[in-house]
Parts: sequence; structure tokens; C-alpha cells
Amino acid sequence: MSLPGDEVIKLRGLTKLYEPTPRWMRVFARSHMVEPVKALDGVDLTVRAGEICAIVGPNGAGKTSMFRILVGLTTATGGTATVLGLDAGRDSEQIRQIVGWMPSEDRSLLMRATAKENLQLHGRLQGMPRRELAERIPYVLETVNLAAQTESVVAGLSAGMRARLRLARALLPGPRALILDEPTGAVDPIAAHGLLTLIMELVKQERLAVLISSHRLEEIEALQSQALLMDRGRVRYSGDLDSLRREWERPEVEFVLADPATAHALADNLVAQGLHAVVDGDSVRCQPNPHEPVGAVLSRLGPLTSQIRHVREIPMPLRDLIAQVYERGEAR
Amino acid sequence: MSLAYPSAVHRRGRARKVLDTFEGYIRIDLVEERMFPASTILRYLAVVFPVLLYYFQSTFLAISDDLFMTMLIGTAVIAGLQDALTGLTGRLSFAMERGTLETYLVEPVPWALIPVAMNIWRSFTGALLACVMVAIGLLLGGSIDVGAIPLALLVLFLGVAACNALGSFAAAFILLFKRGEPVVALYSLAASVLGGALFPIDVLPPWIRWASYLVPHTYVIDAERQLLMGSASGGHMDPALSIGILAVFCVVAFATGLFVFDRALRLARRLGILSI
Repeated sequence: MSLPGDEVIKLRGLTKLYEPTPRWMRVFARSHMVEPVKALDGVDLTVRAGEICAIVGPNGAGKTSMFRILVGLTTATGGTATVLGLDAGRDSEQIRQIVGWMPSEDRSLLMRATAKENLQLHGRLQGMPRRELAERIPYVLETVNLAAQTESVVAGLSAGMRARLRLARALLPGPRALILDEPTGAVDPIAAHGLLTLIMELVKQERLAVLISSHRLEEIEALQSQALLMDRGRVRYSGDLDSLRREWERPEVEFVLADPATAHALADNLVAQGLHAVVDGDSVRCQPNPHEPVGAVLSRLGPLTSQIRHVREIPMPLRDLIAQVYERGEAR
Repeated sequence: MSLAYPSAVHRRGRARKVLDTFEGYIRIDLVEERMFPASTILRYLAVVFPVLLYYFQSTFLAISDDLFMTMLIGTAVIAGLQDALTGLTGRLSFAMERGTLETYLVEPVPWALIPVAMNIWRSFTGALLACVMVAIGLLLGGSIDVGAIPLALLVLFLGVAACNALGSFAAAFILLFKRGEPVVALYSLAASVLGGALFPIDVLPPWIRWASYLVPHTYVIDAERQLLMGSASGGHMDPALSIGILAVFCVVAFATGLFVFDRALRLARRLGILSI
């Protein structure tokens, strides 16, 4: 059970309106911001210790703005953003000490410095004493499985290794929260799986609160995390993925029959029931009406029921489920 | 060992933060120097040629024995201050283009320290370069008052500090408009004319000479020439007065420069254009 004291990241009514660039500034530099843009519109979110929250949304949904507010790179126009009770606007410097930020790009690393030198620089700017830093660098590199690359120049590391080094840098000062902006962006699927497994272990071991954004929905599903679905700055869904499935999913049912002729007969029956049915060889796929049990569909099939060899429920891919949330949210 | 190193916010004193920040940025510069060792060597090697140029030019003109040192000291000061003046803008632009600025900004250090910290090493090497130029001049037969070297170094330090303060104005400009090099380059070229790099400022017509007193280069060059060359320098200001003016200039320019930088930072943060 989570306690109120477990709340690490807390957003309440967080709003960000990007103002157009003032006219006097446009004399010196051309600007793309000529109209106000609402990047975040009253976002509420709580991430507790030991919890992962995946921020999902198309480009322009407001994910990066949220992260940038939390680490102090921009300010909120309304609402509040706090980390362990510290205000993101007022106590930005302190927040940057307890939040580990893993940017999406490798460019944030000093490419011609070694892994160790990158961590030394970060550690000193974090105010870590030399002796503790000397003990901690091997430890975090070991944690992310980069001990053998301690003295390797970053430019020579693979994309997966660089991602792990960025994670090591975020973990170095012992943060209470992690903000991971598309951590597996340029990483191959196997290395990405390893990285996410590592993040899940760290969350369990250290009770870190993690905010993660990713365009790879299968990864988000694998994280078994909370999810915040965003669209144009607004929250479309907030909760765990199981509840999302319960609330929004309409799984398909596949009937496997003895032969294609029977499959067509069954499909005709389903269409007569008002359902959409698709025949593929000797199987038929259909989507029952919302909240209608499969049994109700079966009971209406009459003698065809005895011709069914297998019945299988096909869960909706997360991608389709999320698309449905956006579509239905649009219609509301 | 647990990954959870600090259980809460690790408090640091202001002085500690300043030292950690300066050390961190000097460390970056040292790493970069090591990345391209040949370019560092070539940079020092390159200054031999302007020294030779002025040496042969003064030999050819044969106006006076002191012409070589007059031109050399002026050029060395301009070269030394150039790094202090342009180092920050170059560095900031590079970090912005490469994407590392965001990483620097999310470190828990006061942002106002960043422009100063970013330019410390470059300012130091710039001043060293000026000293190397004068030393080469001495090898070619030039002469200076060796006893005045400590005071001359103090004047150079004040000049470097003043140019760093001016650099923070340029840094503010870059934060908001993403390009600052043209402004700095313009100022830098104007300062070498107005400061009298190759001639005493008395040569300038009166209608423009007043502008010379607005750039720190004038005071640094004049004081350096007087301190190192004595009466042969053609200077006209008491070095003590130059030092006083430079000190006041540093205080005022740093205070206003950091204020402007801070305001630019706040505006860039609000507009969401910080580091992008």
C-alpha cells in the first residue's frame, strides 16, 4: 500500500503556455513562435517511490515540456510541480540534486572523454566529495554493466553502451527520482530490453520514482508501469495499464472451424447479429459489442456452435488500445 | 553500497559551489585540450609569426628602437584579451549546437556561475599566450623592465576580468538570440583600433578618441606599455589610474553583466528557449 509520504513527483493542474517570441526579439532572430501554444493543460500526476510512470503521447503532446519544467529548464504558467515537496520553479537547484535526468540524445555526453571522465565531471558539479566519487563511479558503472569500459572514450562505445552510460550518469549522485526521456531511442531491441530490465530492478531495489517517455509501446507494456496518455497537453488517461485494458479494451474473438464453408456460414450468422466478422481460411474473427460476454455471442450461433473447434480471445495490441483512447477521447 | 547516496538534498555552501563549478569546467577544458593535443601546440606556435611580422616591420620602418615593443605589447594584450572576450561566446554556441548545454544547465549549480566558469581556462591560456608573445619579443632583442612584471601581470589579470564581464553580456545575447559571435567580433575589432593596439591613442582624431576611454583595452595597453617600457612607451595615463579605472570597470561590468545574464536566463526559461 502506498502512503502519502511516498509521493515523490507530484503535478497539480500543471499548465504551460508558450508565449510568442516578443517582437523586439524577432529583430535579432527569426522565431517559429508567433502564436501562443498551450503545451500542458492542467496535468495532474503523482509518482510514488518504487513506481514507474510511462508518459505516452504523439509528438507535441507535452511530454518534453513536463520534463523540462521538472528539471527547471522552463517554468510552468500555472499549477504546481514538486519533487519530494520541493517546488520546481522555486527550488530548481535543489531538485536538480535529487532528480537523475537521462536525456534522449548521446550528444549530452562528452564524446571524446572517457566514461570515467564524464562521470567525474558530473559528480563534481553535483558536489560529491572526491573520495566518495572515487568509490561511487566504479559502483554505478558496474551496476549498468560498463565496468570494462571505464577508461574507454565515449565516441568508441556502441549506442547501447552510451545509453547505459547516460543512465549511470543519472544514477551517480543517488537520485530519488529518475526522468528518462526516450532512454532506448537509438538502442537495438535486445540492448533496449536489457536497459529496461535494469531500470525495473533499480526501481524495485532503490524505490526510485521514475518518469519515462518512449515511443516503443511494447516497452511500456513490458515495464508494467502506470501510464499517462497525453494529447496536445491534456491527459487522456491516467492509471495502470491493466485498468486501461479493462476500461477500454475490446478484444477480438477468433473461432476456428472445420472448413472454410462453415467459417463463411458462421461469419454470416455473426453479421446477422450486427457484428463485424472477417473470414481467414477456416477461421473467423469478430469483435463482440462492448461489455458483451463471448458466451452471449456463442449462444446465438445455434447449431453452428458445435462446429467450432477452438475459441481464442486475441488481446488488442497496446498501440490499438491507445489509438482507441485518443479516437474516443476526440469524439467526447 | 546502495544507489541511494544522499537521503535528502545535500547542502553545500556558496563557496563550495563556486569551487566545484570552476573545477568541473576546468576539468572539461583540460579533457578537451587533451582530446586535440596538436591544436594546443599549434596555437602557441602560431603566435611566433605575428611577433616576427612586427619585428621585421619595425626593422624595415626603422623609426625608433621602441616601435617593435610598442606594437608587440599592444598586439599581445589584444591577443590575450581576445580569448577572454570571445571564449565564452564560442563555447556557449558550441555547447548549444552540440546539445551539451542542457546537460550543464541541469547540474545543481547556480546558473550565473556558468559563464564565468566556462571561460576560466580559456582566459588563463589567453593571458599565457600574451606572455609568450612578449617573451618571444625579448628573445628577438626587445627589452622590458623586469621589475615591473608582477604589476604588469596584475593589469593583464584585470583586463582579462573586464573582458570576461563583457563576455557575460554576449552570453546573455546568445541565450536569447542564439548568435553572439558577430557582436563580439565587431566589438573585438573596434577595441583593437580604439585601444591603440599598434599605436598610442593620441594618434586617433579627437572626435573618436573619447570612445577609446570606454573600452578596457585602452587602459590595459597603456598601463602595460608604461610599466614595461617606461618613458619610451608614449603612454599618457598614470598606470595607477589605469589600474583603478580597470578595477572599477570590472566591478561595474561584472555586476551589470551578471544581472543582464540572469534576466536573459529568466526570459529564456519562461519562453522555453533555453538551450534550444
